[in-house]
Amino acid sequence: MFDLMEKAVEKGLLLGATYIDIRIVKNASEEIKIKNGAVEEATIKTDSGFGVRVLKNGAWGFHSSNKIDKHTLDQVVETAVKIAEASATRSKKPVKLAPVKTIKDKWRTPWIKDPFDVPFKDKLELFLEADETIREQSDYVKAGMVSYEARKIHKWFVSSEGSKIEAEIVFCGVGVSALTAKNGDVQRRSLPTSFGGNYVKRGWEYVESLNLVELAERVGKEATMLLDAKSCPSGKTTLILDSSQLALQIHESCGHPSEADRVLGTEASYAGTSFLTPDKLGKLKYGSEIVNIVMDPSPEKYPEALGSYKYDDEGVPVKRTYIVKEGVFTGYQLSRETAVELGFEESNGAMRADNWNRIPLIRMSLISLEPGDWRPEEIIEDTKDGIYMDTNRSWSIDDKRLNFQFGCELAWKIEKGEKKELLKNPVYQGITPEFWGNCDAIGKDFFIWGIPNCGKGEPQQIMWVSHGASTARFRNVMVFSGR
Amino acid sequence: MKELDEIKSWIIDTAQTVIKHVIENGAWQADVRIEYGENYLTRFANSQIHQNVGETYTKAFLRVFLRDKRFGCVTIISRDIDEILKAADQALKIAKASKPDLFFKSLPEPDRILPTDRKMFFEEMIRLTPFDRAEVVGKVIDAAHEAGKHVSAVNGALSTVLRLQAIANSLGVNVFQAYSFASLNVLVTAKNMQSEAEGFAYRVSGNLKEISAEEVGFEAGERASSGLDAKKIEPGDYEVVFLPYATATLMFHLAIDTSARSKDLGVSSLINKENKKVLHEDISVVDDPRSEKTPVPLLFDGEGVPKRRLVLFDHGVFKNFVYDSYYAGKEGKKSTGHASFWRHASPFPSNLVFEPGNSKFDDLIEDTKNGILVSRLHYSNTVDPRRGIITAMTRAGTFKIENGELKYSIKNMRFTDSYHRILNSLSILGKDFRSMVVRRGFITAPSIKVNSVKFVGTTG
Repeated sequence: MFDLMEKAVEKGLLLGATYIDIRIVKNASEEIKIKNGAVEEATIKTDSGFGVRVLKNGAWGFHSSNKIDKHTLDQVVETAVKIAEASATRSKKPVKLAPVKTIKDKWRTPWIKDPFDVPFKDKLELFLEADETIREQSDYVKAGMVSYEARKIHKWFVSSEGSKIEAEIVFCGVGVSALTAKNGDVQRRSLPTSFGGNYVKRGWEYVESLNLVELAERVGKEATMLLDAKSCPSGKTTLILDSSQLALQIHESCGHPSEADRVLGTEASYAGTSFLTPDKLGKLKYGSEIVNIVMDPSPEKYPEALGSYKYDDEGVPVKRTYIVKEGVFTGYQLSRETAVELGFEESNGAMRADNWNRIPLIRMSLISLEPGDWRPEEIIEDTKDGIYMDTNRSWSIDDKRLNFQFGCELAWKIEKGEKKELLKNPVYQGITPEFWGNCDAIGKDFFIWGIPNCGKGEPQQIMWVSHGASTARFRNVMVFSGR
Repeated sequence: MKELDEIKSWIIDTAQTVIKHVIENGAWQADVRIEYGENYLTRFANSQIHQNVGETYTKAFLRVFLRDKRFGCVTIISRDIDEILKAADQALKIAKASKPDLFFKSLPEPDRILPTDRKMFFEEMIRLTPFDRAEVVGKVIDAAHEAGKHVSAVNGALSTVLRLQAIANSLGVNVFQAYSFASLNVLVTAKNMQSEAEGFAYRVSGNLKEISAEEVGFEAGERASSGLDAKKIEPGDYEVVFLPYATATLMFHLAIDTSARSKDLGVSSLINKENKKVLHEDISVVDDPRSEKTPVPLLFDGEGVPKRRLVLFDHGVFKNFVYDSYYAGKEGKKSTGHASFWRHASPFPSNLVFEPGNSKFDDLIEDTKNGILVSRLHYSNTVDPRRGIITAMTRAGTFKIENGELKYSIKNMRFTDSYHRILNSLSILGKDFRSMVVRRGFITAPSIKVNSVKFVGTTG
């Protein structure tokens, strides 16, 4: 494979490219969805292809094809060079890339049981049992749902700077959820978390480690209980978030705004920009002093985290970077190009593409709120009056990542240090630095959540990322009922 | 063209070969969608091209059903017939290991495709070079900068798309269509010493030639320039004039609710509302591939079912959910021709048109005493699906309207409200309309003036 790629790189250089990289990617994915006892989706997807990224006259060109042979590679390289030449006609500033050392390596994620080797029948049996368990919990269950996806990626990277990297990645995840309905009210409960479940870079052993049927029983019961719960009250109060909701809060209000491409305006037209402008680096009080948010995708520390990897799609080794240190905004997620633009010596390895037919963009990897020293129960015991919210139900945030609104699946009224009453339709709203500035307790129940569906870019790319988070408390937060 | 003719023959023949193969190997019914595509996208930011990408692909999606209603699906990106047949065997294997889905009744029978006199495929779109796209982008950038001295950055994307699609099933469906379209979105940033503002404009057409790059650039540039020095106003209940770009977002949420899948899941706000007045009586919404207002007429859906005009709302009365063969079979109905292209059982409108009115845009402003002009909505999401409650931020041009006049620019605001309530408070329908690409279809919507939207927050 590398020989074929190296020849294409040579061809690009002969055509005047000053830099060229080629990625060949082979993908397999399996998706199973069960709804109310029926197999709603049972799909295997396979594809392979290559993408060629070229710098010529200081501008980028990219082209790709699903046909991997020498003739097509040559054609695609030629087109990519032409596209770069066309880009250069409307470029003001030539692209410069931060240096990177030449890498020759092969790495893989740590799966034990290849999910694609597990008989389809066995998977189905487990998922159908979970689905049935959900629906057994009450007559109000309108839908029991199980969703599962596994993916296997084999990729090769070659650059004109001499790097040759091969990677084999396997990840999978599963989730159960219940929809209940009564008198026009609909409630949803999902575990381990919402929107398809939790994902990890492991094999089928992860699915086996979850007691899916037990989770199914819980979602059926809790979704039924929610129907008779009171609506969340309105007003400013103390808010405690469970770690899965906090993971999404980190994702939207810290992960996205610290992407250097957003900061430099290159995602302005679609996803938006960022309030974390370069003049604020090292100065802005992003949160309270106990808030430390770090990008650390190194597979040595958390090999099973969905967002961990050894090298990004520019061939850059990942580098641990604090985005927020003791409450102060201190760092960005970088590419080689944005590192130069923002005055950093090197990239920290945040560039990934979701497939062979897409260019790498700055994507979140493993971005975590470092744990505190509170036990989650202590946080509740220490709260006189407040609301505890659990598991995301809806989200929205503005283009600069300041004004956000999140809805959760369920909440508890906290009174005198105890969870008193179940509440439904809870929503909270805030402005990012104010919200994090009011964080006064972080739990030690650190857990890494895997999100397989973060969208960004045009054409849109769906990336797999993860966030470590714990139970945490925030003062003076506006809450209300989403009803 | 010769190459595309060969591709056309190849995908039509391959579709037939695949169906024959799976039926011979034990499938009761089967269908396959094969698409050849050429997509190019030139992105620009900070007034220069920064990403410029292209792809060609051949993709197939195959479903096989056994007589006892077990089924399996495969998707493969390949132009190799052996690989596609291998994937077809895998679909059979999945089906054999699966459990029956007794809600599935049958794939659709062949039906006559209604002709269209509109052109779907423009040959000049094939001949576009990267330099042609760069030239269009250049015109956008120049026009936006000419719109105001404070314009600091022109951002956006120009996309050109060619698709050749063949669909076949074991009951005799065997259809082909080819279409092209170009879309251009532009977001301009203006800056002065005190503030920063954005302006947005968007166009989509079957032919890039029909899009005036200068007009789009100027529109976004002008709006950005007039948005500087925004003031903050208190959240509350305001009258609102939505530009078509913002109305289209409301229509997207409405479209989700019209899907038979949303109904089946119990998460549509339109459940039990068929033939009931749901929206203001001046609101009529159709899904009509032959409407002159939709940019690209799609002849059939992802199952090869002919697309016909379907009334979704008639003078505010909700008339129809949209169905594919799965949900139609489940409810004992006929498919309305809204099957998804790449997913099993996920119907969605593809040529949705919110019928415009007769009023000039100025009439909408003049009708507003204490209101807000919303140019675009950002990051909208559902808060309570059964009640149609959504939340979104305003973006790229939010202005205060007082006593019938546009007064000043305001900071972006968040609303959380039911789109039913918003659209029930309609006051005037504009005659201007725009179309946007949504999922694999198009939404067309006019400017509207409504009497009440609940804003719950402000940025900055």
